[in-house]
Amino acid sequence: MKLIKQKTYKILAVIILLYVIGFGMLVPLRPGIMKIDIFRAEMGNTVTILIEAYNSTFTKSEDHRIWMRLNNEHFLKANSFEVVNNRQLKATFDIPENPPFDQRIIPASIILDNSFDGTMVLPDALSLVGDENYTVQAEPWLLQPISDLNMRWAYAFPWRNILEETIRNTYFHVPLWFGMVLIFLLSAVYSVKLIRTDNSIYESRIFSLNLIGTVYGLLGIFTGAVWARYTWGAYWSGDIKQDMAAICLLIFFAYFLLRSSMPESKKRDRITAAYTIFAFVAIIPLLYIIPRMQPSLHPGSGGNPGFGGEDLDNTMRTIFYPAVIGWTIFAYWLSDIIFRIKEIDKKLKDRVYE
Amino acid sequence: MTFAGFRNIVNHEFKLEFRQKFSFAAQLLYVAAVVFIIYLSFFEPETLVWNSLFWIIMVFSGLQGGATAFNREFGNSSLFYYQYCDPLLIYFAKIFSVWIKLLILGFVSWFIMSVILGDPVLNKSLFMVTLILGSLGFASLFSFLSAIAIGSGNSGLLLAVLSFPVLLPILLSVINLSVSAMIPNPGDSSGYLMTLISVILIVFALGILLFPFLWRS
Amino acid sequence: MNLLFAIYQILLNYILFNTTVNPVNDFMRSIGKIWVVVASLLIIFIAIVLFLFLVERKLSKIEKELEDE
Repeated sequence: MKLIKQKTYKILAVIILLYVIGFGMLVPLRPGIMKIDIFRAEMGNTVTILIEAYNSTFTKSEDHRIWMRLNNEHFLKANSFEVVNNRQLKATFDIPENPPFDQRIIPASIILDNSFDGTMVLPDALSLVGDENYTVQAEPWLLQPISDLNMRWAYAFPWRNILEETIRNTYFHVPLWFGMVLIFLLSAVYSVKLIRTDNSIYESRIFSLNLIGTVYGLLGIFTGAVWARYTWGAYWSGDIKQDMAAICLLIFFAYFLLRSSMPESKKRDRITAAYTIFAFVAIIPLLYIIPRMQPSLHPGSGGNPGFGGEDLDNTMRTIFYPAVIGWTIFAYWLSDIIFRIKEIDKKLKDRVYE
Repeated sequence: MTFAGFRNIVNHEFKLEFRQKFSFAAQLLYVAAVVFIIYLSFFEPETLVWNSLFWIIMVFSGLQGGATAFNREFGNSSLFYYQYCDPLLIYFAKIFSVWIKLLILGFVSWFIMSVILGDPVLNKSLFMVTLILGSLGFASLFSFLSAIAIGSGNSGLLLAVLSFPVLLPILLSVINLSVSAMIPNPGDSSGYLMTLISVILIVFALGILLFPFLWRS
Repeated sequence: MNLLFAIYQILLNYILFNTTVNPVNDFMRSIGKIWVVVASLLIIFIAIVLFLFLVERKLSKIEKELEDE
């Protein structure tokens, strides 16, 4: 940290965070289908579906194409459509009488494509229910995959159905955890230095870094709880990663307990430093190994796709990585203030004793 | 670091332990009393209840054993004796003796529980491996943390607080492993075994790195 | 008055039927759940303000100690 001059890194943090908050909040979401008005259709009927989309501009283009997708091979194209307004569109499907494969109730996705908005998908939008004595007949269903979709490039965040706009929380919740781990790493490095050199100036550093790391962890828990309330349905859903994060905070609460239970001395410095190293090594499996082994709602664990797969596309990367750096430098700045106050306090106390 | 030195310290350890016979006997009595209380309140507990009660007994026995692990050494009484020893040797001897004590307690409580409450364990060898590894995990964790906690006044309470979070992954994998030793058709449990072994290795490695520094102070 | 009535209705619904009034259209879920992001930012902001308060308190203490000398 000596390499970085006193002020430059603070300015850097502010600029990065301004960029992150500004772009993170202002860049629009890609258009996506929010919902349709029915969730069940009898086979053999003609149904009209009202599609409601988000951020779309249906009136700008004429070439809408709408499909129902059963699986990779079987599709059904809408035979007519009517644009109600920018956000709403009515599509009419002639659903064949017989399913293309041996299954009476088939979940179907809706795919909408036009030249202005690009392609939108609503997975598992509705279920098609066949007659009780159906026969398998592949004929009216399209067997060839959908081709020439409009891949319109835009600087926009991906649309995720339950997440919706909260995908922006990727810049205000996830980097807090990354920042916390990096801050604890720095604190562990200082702990090693303290154990090697017995210099008690590092003790204040370790304390301030651990304090800010714990605050970041708490913030991560709170922002995550609010996010979970409106996407997974409850503030605390007993998700393995949530539980492990809480345990990880308990480990660092124990640090403060340990520190306050001993009188100020070289011995205390050394013991708390050893505990900090221990705690840092202990949180790595808690946060990154155990959650991967069990089913979890978080990305990157259990059967879910890894973080950085579908949940973090290239557009989001341009903001997510700066966000991690920005929040981490900001945390270092905060801890530096506490460190300096601690040092002044210590010097003042020494003077009083003299 | 020699084997003879290691044996000497372990011998010394056990001699000290059995000189005050009452402490080990008290732990055995504690196990018997707890099992009897369980018997009075459950009669015949289900497999899962049996399992969790067994591991709770083990954790508290381990806490008892671990809390007293370094009581003597950080006092002045045996300062002279230990000044001539390698700290790592002491550390390993300590873990070893706590481990042996825990193993004895574990097998005794398994025996008592199977006599009084019935024995749900189907896969005996897997359960035994779990017991051996689990006690090793408890012993290494409690020994290391009691070396940290001993500096403060109320070390018993502090040890419980410090060890709880790290105890959790050990306990989680140990309980899952022993459940798969109790049900007829267990799934693949090698993941939990790997977690257990890696946590033990991590605690060991940290102990080797950090214990000499704790010892000096 | 309208607001009061709405709150009353929500409470009544909650007590009688243990359900909330159409939770899909509540405030936090409007405009594509953007308010959840706002809440996250607000939590962080409140934390920073709290931090400033605590730091200031500590500084005042140090200032007082300096004066006492």
